[in-house]
Amino acid sequence: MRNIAVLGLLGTLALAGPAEDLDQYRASVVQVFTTSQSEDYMRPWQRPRASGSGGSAFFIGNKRLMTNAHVVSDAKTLLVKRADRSKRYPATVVFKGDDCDLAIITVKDASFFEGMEPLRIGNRPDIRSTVAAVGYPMGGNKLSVTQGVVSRIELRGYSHTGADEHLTIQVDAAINPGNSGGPVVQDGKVVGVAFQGQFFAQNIGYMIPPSVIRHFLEDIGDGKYHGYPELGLYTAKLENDSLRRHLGVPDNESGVLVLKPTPYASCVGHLRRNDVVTKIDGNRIQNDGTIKVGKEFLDFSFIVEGKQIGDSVTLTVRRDGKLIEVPIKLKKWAARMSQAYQYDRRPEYLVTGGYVFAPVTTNYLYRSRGTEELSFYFRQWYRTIAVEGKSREQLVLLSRVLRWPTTRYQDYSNGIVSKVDGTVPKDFADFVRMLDNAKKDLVKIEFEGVNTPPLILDRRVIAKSHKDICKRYGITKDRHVEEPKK
Amino acid sequence: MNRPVAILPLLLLLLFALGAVRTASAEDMAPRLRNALVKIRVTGQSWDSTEPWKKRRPGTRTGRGVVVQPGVVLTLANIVRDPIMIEVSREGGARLYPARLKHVDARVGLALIEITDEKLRAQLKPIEIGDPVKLDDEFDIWQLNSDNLLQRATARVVAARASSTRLTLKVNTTNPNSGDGQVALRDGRIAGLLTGSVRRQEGTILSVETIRRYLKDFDDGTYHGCPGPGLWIQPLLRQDLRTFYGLTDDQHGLAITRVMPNRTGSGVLQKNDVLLAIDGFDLDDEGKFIHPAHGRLDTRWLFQGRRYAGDKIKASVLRAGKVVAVEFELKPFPASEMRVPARPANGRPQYLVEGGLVLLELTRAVGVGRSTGGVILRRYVERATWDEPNARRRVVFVDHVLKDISNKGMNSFSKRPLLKVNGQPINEIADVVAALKKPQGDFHVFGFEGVQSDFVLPVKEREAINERIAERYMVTRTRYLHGDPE
Repeated sequence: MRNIAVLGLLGTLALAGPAEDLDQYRASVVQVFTTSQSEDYMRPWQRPRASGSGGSAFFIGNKRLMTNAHVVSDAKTLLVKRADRSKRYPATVVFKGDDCDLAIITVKDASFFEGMEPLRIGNRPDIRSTVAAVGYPMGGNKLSVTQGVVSRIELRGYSHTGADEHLTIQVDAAINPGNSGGPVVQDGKVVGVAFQGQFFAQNIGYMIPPSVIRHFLEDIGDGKYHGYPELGLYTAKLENDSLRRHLGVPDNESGVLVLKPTPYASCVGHLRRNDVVTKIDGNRIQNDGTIKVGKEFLDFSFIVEGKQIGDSVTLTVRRDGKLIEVPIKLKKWAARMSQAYQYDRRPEYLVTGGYVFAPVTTNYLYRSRGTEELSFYFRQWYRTIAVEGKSREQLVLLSRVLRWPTTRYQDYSNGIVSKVDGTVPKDFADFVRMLDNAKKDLVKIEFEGVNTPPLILDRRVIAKSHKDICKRYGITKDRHVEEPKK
Repeated sequence: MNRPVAILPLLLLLLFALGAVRTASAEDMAPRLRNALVKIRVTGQSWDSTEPWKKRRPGTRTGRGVVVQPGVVLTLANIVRDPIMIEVSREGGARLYPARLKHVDARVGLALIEITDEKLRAQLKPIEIGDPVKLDDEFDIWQLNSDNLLQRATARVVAARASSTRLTLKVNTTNPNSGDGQVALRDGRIAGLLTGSVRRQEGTILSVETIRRYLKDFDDGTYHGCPGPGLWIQPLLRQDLRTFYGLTDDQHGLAITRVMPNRTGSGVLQKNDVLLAIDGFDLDDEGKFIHPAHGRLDTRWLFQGRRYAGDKIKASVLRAGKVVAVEFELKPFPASEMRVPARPANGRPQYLVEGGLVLLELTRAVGVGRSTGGVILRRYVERATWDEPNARRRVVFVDHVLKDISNKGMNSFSKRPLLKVNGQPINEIADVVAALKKPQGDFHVFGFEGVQSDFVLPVKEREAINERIAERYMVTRTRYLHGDPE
């Protein structure tokens, strides 16, 4: 799932360049010690053993330290330590943006910040310019400064959630565990936050660029992190001459072909299939879907990268032979079925009479080592629900059957619930409500797939066996259900 | 006084009876088998399933067979797959005689080949099909060994297995080789054909019942095959399902979850019926019945593998709490009526290459992969075989795109189901040919399932594009549809 390793709790890259003075950062770049505990998706009523890890963070003023979201996700305890002190201070997370892998943490004890100089956010460094990564990578406990060259700037996936893509800067020095959250500096200013590397490559490390850092800082200005808006368009390139002729796109014009506005996102109701988007905020879109940004060609969604939720973007669209301007108010993608890995959330589940139900999520698939079959259904339903906007908002799964005399001969493996007494549950909370409110003794639960036998829940049998089953299997709480946000 | 008189006729009868069942000794059988067993050598070559203008590397298979009718040899279907040339040799000689494929049923696993050499035909004498063998019966397995000499092994039946198309018997045997059509003989008559691998002295024979059924199917001059499934059935081991279907403790059977229109059972059986008995055989909750000779067998064999389309079946059914007697007719469901058959008819895929799109009809022999298109195709593979034939007759899809300047930027169509060409719905690959006769203006427009752009092919350049692609990629033939010259 993740071929790019987040460096979480790991650390720094780069060597001190001639322009960078280690002492300058000794007080401002701190080491982060995290004790984290994730979730057990197969036995969601309990948690797996906690583990420790480390990362880096840097002072940005106002009692705030910036680090990576993955350094502090699922944290149970968080400690920070300055390079020039021996004491470790307890810290707390103030803001966290999993989609951009950035977080702000703070320390209550004001003495921690004494003598610290905030690091300023600089501008995007040029290709081939030298940068230095400061942090606490593996291999030692002292502050480390390493040097590298900016080798590539492009939009690419952020592996913390596995589903988000933002501008990323590649540097040619290896970024190692422990570097995560540490600043990458140039001329005394922060030009990136080290965050991920490549497992099977040499000298490829990635940092979060200033534009993403500023977007995050601007977003939290109102005291809450909202995330990135989504244009929400399925498009195709228009590199093919025949396709362009067929669509009536003049030779001197370029753009991308709209296949479908994604449900739950910004363009629904504004664009339609076979529109050709030629410009975004006045920037000409090339036939391969890029726009020119400085010396680089970047995907046209780069323009949306700089926007906040609620901002507008103007698309120039060729429709029915005419060019029109379409203003779009940007929204966050509101589908509940997401392919993003989620953190700091209890898994939802329900245990009833030995049957364990849960919503299908990326976390579930990843943590439970979900079967290929289940992954297939997830992808298929993700397409149906999130992309095509059909009926359901979540998939409900019979994740396992606890063996008991009343659950004998159960041969389910990850059955996806299709109906409860003939009605499709729209999400997990809805499913649980259906069971809780059932009036009949027998509740029929049907599953996806060809000729999969239904499960008949006999509420009389469950009433008699449920407590014993929970007791014998060590189930301290038989459910965790979250009602969808209105 | 009367007693001796009474005993004498009884003794005489016993003596006659013993004579009738006297086992034919190996010495008795050898002369007959010399003129009945043949070794079969098949040079086979299959079509490439995704680049179907090519053939795969040819190979040679060797198997055995037995003459069952004048000049006609019964053997296994897998021996004669994709034949280019079939030859036979006989006991004691290395000379190869020509033969041809007369019939094959891959689902049953049997085939007939016809010897075309008149002299050999006259020399070979058929062996009769014997009576069914049962558990613990012992018999010999004969073959022509690598030197074309008669070789005998012994075997004993230890278990029976039934499926929807055949009955096989597991045997303990001294035969050291894998089954490739070696002949089981008892009392001088055929008792089965050895099939599958022989491991740890355990092998499998295709039963007399299956062989008899296969040969008898030709009685009216046409082979029809086993009746097809028309029912979806589910075992009822689980107490929750038994409660739901209203079975008492002493009732056992199979739930009917779907009756396909115009197929076996339609108009008589109903969804939620429970099949209790078929043709006087009581069913158990796992979907098996007790056969007096073979033990517990799969119920599907009762109304598919041992019967013929048109046969009437008497069944006992639990419907709405009452046991009712019903009678229904077995209906055919040939592979040609399945939307996604196991293999292309005659092993040769129908295809078209248009504008670089390699268009095929979906079969289960095609790997669908894990791409987005593959996810859609897999849904068809899962469901379509058992679907009613009222939807699309076949699924036509793009296997891959042969890249060309004309399809630049339009090569993300791999594994995509094709829905329309020039606005015409595509139900089978011949529809594409018909639709290409009516272009949309200057273009042929191909529309696909899923969020996908159209593929366009300029009408005027189509021929030149197809010729160029065919030449560059050595596509020796850009189409093969049933009815085209071989």
